[in-house]
Amino acid sequence: MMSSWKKTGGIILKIENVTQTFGGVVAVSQLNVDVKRESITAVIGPNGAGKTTLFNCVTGIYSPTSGNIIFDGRDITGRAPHEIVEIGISRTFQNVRLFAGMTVLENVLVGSYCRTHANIFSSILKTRLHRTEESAVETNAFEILDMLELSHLVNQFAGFLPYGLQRRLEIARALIAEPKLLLLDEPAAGLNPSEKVELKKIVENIRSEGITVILIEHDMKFVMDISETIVVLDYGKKIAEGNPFEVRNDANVIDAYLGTRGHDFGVKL
Amino acid sequence: MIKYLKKIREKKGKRWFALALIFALLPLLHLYYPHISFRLFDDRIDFHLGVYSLALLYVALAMGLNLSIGFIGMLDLGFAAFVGIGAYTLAILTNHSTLPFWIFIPVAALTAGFVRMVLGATCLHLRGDYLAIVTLGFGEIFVTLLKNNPGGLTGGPDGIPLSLLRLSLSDLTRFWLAYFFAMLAVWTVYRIKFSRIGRALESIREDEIAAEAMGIPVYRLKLLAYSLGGVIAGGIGALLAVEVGSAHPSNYDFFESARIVAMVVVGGTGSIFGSALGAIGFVFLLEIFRPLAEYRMLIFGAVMVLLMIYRPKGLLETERKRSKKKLSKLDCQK
Repeated sequence: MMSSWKKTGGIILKIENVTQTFGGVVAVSQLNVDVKRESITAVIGPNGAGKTTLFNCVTGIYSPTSGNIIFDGRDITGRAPHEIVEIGISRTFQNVRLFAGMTVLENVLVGSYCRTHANIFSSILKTRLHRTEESAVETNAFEILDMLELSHLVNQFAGFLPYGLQRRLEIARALIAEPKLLLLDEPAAGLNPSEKVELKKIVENIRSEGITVILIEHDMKFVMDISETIVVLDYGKKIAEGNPFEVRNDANVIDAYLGTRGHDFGVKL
Repeated sequence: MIKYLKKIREKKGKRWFALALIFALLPLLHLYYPHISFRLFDDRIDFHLGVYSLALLYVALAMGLNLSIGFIGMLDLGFAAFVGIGAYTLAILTNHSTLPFWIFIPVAALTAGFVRMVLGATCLHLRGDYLAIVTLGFGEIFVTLLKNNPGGLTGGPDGIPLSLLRLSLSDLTRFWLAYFFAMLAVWTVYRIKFSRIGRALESIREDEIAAEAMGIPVYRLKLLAYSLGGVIAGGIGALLAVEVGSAHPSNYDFFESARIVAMVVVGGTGSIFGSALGAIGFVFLLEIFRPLAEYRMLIFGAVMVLLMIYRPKGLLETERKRSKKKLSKLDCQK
């Protein structure tokens, strides 16, 4: 831990000049972001600003057109998604992508795949490795489900849970992979106010366990409450970065969200 | 927390029981009724030991196919080709060497597994219908190849007779051979299903992108499940050839593939107990309706239609598909 602190100077994720294009569309262009270790960073911006694309680049679902992504002092650009999970980045999805036909417990256990090693033969023969791993992973899953108050639902099918709990289950599934960095894509979308309060507690809890959190969110109150750093994207470019107070008063941000005169398609305000 | 853990353990016990039941019942059945014969439509129907062996071998084949259809959700319409590869490997090797035939069963299994791995490596990135078409094509190519007798190896449209080998083994030996290998297949698939790899395979079926993003090496695992299906097909194919007494191209055509798919789907995709039941039921019914010759396919068509109407998720729907209601708010509170 200490050595990587020294090596990376407290920066866990370094996005260097990342550009992602789809045909002629530039979704993310020349983006530079540094994310501090054990911080909560929010990425905000209007629809289509490239936030989710950025997440997809970091988690390996897209391989950026150019630029580098350095995680914990390691270049992870263009690695396969499952390798990146193993290196220590896990995520949730904007529209919940649980394994609907599997139980809550099974969903969480899937997330532990990259932290277990029993191969097919030891599973068939139920060797000691298989048994110890299974029980360790099960206990681990219960601890996480307990923390997220889902442990009474272990045998239910994920697809039948109400939306708010599905979102929480996705976080549980991401956590069991023992990430150093957790990416939450609109975790508060569709939650009611009390669920949002709970979510805030959960995210702070996660951070206090030493996990860095980056989240995309449209709920400004939630973002301003929780995050230390906010990165604002618009048309794939970073237009502002700073603490909530700075961002709130940034002229560019107000511009992007509300528009300015002369920029409002000819409609006079 | 301990309460919930206990619940899960109990569930595991129940699964075991269902499986043990199938395998205890079949030998019992044949011990009490080694030779059933009855009359149906003025024909005498002989239900001899061979039918039991056949049923067991098809149980194993259903397991092999379940690995791809049930676990990773990839429709495979050329499965019989791999059964054929196993059968022909055994037939060719026994005809060209003096070694005892059982040595060639693992060889047949590995050959089929290897061919399936090569095929899988080229086409497993395809999804759904596209993969079904490729495997269908492979099955057709395989049968055509057999009929054309490459290098004088496959005996052309006549196939390779194995009647001498068949006669050298008694009915009972073949039954226990089938029993052993079917049990091995079921046991293997069962253990895989309830392991980390099984969960990973199921997650691939549910949502491939999410699985990859959760750290599952999707392609590698798909290939693993797919080739393991080939290993099972090859090994059982070799035994099936011995049981039938020949390796013949028409035994491995599309209809054979469709029949195995039907067994798995009728029983319930993804369910081990279900597809085993589907296989046994299919073989027994086919035997009972043998006097109807080709007309029995009509009956099967009708049965399939009825099943799809009343039990669209298979005879034994896996429990995960059964419950229809959403959880009420009350259920979600502690």
